[in-house]
Amino acid sequence: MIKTKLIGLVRRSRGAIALVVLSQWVRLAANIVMVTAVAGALRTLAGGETLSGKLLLLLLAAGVLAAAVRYGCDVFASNISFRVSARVKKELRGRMYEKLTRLGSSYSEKLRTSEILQVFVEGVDQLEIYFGKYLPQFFYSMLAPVTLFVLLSFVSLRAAVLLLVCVPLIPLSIVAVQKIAKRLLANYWGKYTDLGDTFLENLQGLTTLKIYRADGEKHRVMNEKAEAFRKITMRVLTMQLNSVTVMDIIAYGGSAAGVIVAVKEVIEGRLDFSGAFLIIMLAADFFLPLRALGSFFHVAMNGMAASDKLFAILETEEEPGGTRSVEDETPSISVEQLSFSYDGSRKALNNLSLSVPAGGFAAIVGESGCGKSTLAAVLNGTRRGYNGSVKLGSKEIRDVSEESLNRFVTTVGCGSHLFGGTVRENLQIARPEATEDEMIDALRQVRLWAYLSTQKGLDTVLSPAGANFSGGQRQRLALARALLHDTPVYLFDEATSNIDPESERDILSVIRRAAGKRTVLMITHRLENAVGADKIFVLGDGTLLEEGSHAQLLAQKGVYAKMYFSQRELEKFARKGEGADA
Amino acid sequence: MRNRRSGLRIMARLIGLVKPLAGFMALAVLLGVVGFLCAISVTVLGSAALLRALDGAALLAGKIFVCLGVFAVARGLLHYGEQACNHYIAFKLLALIRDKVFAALRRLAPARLECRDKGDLISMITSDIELLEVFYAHTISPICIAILTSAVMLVFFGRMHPLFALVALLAYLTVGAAVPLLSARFVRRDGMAYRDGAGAFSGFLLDTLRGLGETLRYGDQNRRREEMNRRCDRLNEAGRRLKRAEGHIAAVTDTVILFFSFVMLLCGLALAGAGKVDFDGVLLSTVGMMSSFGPVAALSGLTGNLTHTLAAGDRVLSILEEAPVVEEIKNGKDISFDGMACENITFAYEESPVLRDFSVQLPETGIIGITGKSGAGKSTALRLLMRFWDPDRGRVTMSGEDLRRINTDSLRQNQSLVTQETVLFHDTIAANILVGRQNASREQVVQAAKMAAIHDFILTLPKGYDTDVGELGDLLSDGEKQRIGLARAFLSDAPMLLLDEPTSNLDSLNEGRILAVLDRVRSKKSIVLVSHRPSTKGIADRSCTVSFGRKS
Repeated sequence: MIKTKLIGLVRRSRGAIALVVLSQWVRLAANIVMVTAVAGALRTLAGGETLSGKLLLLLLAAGVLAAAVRYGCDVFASNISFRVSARVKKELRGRMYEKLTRLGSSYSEKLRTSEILQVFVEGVDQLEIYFGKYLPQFFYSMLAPVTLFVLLSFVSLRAAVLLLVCVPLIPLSIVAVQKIAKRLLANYWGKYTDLGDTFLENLQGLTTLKIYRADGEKHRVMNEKAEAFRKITMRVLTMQLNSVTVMDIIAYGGSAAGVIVAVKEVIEGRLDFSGAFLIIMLAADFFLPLRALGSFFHVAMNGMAASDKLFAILETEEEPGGTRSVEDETPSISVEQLSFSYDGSRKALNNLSLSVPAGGFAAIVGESGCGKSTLAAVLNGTRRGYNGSVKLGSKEIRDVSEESLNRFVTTVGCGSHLFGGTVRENLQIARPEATEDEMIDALRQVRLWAYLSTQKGLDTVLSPAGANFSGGQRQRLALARALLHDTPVYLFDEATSNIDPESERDILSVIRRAAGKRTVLMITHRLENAVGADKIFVLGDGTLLEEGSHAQLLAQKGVYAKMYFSQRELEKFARKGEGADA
Repeated sequence: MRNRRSGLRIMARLIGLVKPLAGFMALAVLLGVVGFLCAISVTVLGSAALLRALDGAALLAGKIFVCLGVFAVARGLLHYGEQACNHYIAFKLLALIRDKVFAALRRLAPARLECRDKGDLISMITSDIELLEVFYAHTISPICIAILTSAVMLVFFGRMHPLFALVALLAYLTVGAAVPLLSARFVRRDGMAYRDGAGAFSGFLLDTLRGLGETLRYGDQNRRREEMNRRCDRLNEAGRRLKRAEGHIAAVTDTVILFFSFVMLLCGLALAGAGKVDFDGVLLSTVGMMSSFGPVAALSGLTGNLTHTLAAGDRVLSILEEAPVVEEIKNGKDISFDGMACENITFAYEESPVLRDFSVQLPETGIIGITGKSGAGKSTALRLLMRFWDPDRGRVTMSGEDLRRINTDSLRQNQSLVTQETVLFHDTIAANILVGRQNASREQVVQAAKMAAIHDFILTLPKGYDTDVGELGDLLSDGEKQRIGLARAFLSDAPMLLLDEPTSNLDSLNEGRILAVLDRVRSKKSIVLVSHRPSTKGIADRSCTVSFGRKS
């Protein structure tokens, strides 16, 4: 019911959790004082006397004192428990982020991105209840019955023992039922989110569905799935409810038993009115803390499940990264007998050798699945588990530290991530100290400044992932950011796919201009883009098929020439229109 | 904008929506009330037994003991029943409301979903429905239970002395209504600020992780980490304010409960002093008061969300009640395709005119391009051809017949559409193509894919046609998605193919691929190609330009 590992994580918060428990305990003590005062007053009355002014005053004083203490404890506990959970959440996220940065850009090799996302955002939030509510309640629900027992044992030992004995039945029943429910629950939670997604998806595609008259069928299937899911959920819930019911029966049955024993003692003359009243009023307090714990338990369960994944991430093994630095000012790239496999059997790259001289401009082309992107991932250090040799200047990439590699190589992919925030903030990621002029210059080069200056310039705001920009604009901004990074080697991995032809042209011209001063490697599925390269490498099935300049390759009349002409044929219509326009 | 409904009317309408579940709801309330009464009786009956014992009536006390045991067990079972009913209602409802909303949107689509804020609308509906579930399952019955249980308790107090009933009434109203309503106003701003802040922070965290690759590549992790801490601290500050307010509210509720328990005791003492009630009355009224706050205290957390819930209810009701822009035609003509035409059509969205005197002839086969700047009305023209809307003046005809007299089913049978972004469902590639014609055979699917030049690509996927598109993620480029959309259109076998900016997100090679496909089927289909791209002119047999509502 409790995870020592999790508590170990938050040593610093132990004191705070103890304070929450203590304040709840003080609150209980105030309660006992108050009930005792009321019992005393009623006893006087039961004896046929009237209350004296002094006694009345004492009763009121006890009431006011109890109210004040309870008020203070409530506010104090809620403040502290928030502080604990806030601190824990901050710390856990911080640790996770640091872990991921230590794992480096190869983190996605070892961990599933969707899982990290889930734990990082929702999972950590779910731990809030665990630390803020569940943990303090856990300790308090053990402390409260013991306190009451000690106190009531002076009043009636029999009743006190009976009440205390009933208490452990509650956690036992929770644990028993939870064992079964846990398995079922884990299975169906995924399906629930799935249903919400289906609904959303059907709404998004409703126009399409309606046009093809498929909306009725989708509607029927959606309802069917919802009904099936509902039945299963009811079964899971029934199981959870069983545990609640058992808890309730024990709690109320226990109190009733306590009350009955107390009254019997009165009948037998062993207990007076005030003692019995005290037991009647306090019997429920034996069980209430544990019942509350039970209700937090279901929520805390989610948090504990998340914590398992969290530990799995924190305990992921870190590979010793390279330690050496690239030394050449403008390094060349040389690949020799490079092989790489994602799964250990199928080779994505097979015995590949190629070289790009310092300051050269090379292109790598081939159909999808030929190994182009794998080569890019090896070159920028994302994939280090390769065989053969890949050198940047005189250094083997495997041995180069990620930091040094990042200072020498900039990669621009096809879906570069942009962050929510201003254009300025996005550019500063590449160079925090960049001046405004440098930023504007980079934006001018990618022809984005004309648009941005009609907006708010560098302070134009992007939504997360740049969703409010068009695909072409996003790619231009990503390119401007890459230009600010100003490294001797640039790697363009399909940097112009999925964007409109105007942006494609602009970006290509930037790449070509960059090529003069730096070592540039461009990976593209569109051969036309590669035409200006000094050298073109044609890949197929992870091996090098042909190499040479555009003219040489056309003259060879091999794979390249065939692909080039078939692509030209495809683009014929597009060009025809543009010609007519121009 | 329609008239806003009052809060009470919304509630009444919302409750009316769930008539089929009224029985279960009543049962849940009944079980809840009896359950609470059982719980209260454990202490009250215990006290009564104590009184009998003091009087020396041991026999009567014995009977009460039996009742005590029965009530304690009954409490557990009743609570079970109540919770089971509530959850039954909740899940039934979620499905029921989704069903109703989806049915309404099917009626309203496509026009209703083609507006500019489509994404907002969809996410709004989704979260609105979830809020409504909370309203039905966890708001209505607790309120009823609190009112009924308290009413029973008032009778109990009233039979001892009217003053007890008056004190209890004040106590219940204060705890169940006054404190929650007042405090809801008190924390609303902090609550909203914190919720918004928490939402924004989640967004930031998501953005941070999605961009981790870029951050690492540019070595920006330390700056990002600092920013993360800064934002976390800011959110915690807002959270701290809210939690402090909430802590005070909980404490105030607790103090009020204590206060009224004491008032009851003092009343009892005063009345006993005046000889109006006996000792039994004093004890039972005090114990009854102390142990009967459960149902009203449960209401204290509900009011915070009520304004949100009502707003959500209002939006959902609007959708359910909205009339479609065009009524489907069922008793008109069925038609075979023989070309289409727009004849001097004029159209405006509400007040803003889009098309004026637009005419175009669409022959049985061949490609007609509709070009023009964005916002000039190209897509609107296409939507009028599909009768998402009817023109304000002029008429749209198919085979010489006004669309307003053609059965909607027959019209759809003759048309297929490819939009700027093809919507793919989380299903296999084959199932996604099958959307075009659900009863098509595998050969027909393959045939359509071949026509759309996507067959070879599909064969390279791990499970071919049975590959799940969700598992592919980024493996499917936008160009490939568009060609799946084309295959879907080809499978439907409609004689008309309408394309709305099909290549605006594609590079020239992928654009070329799409246009090459169109070129191959130009002799078999009537193709309408809407595009702002000059390349459209290259492939079209004829193109017309729409500009500021005039065809030039």
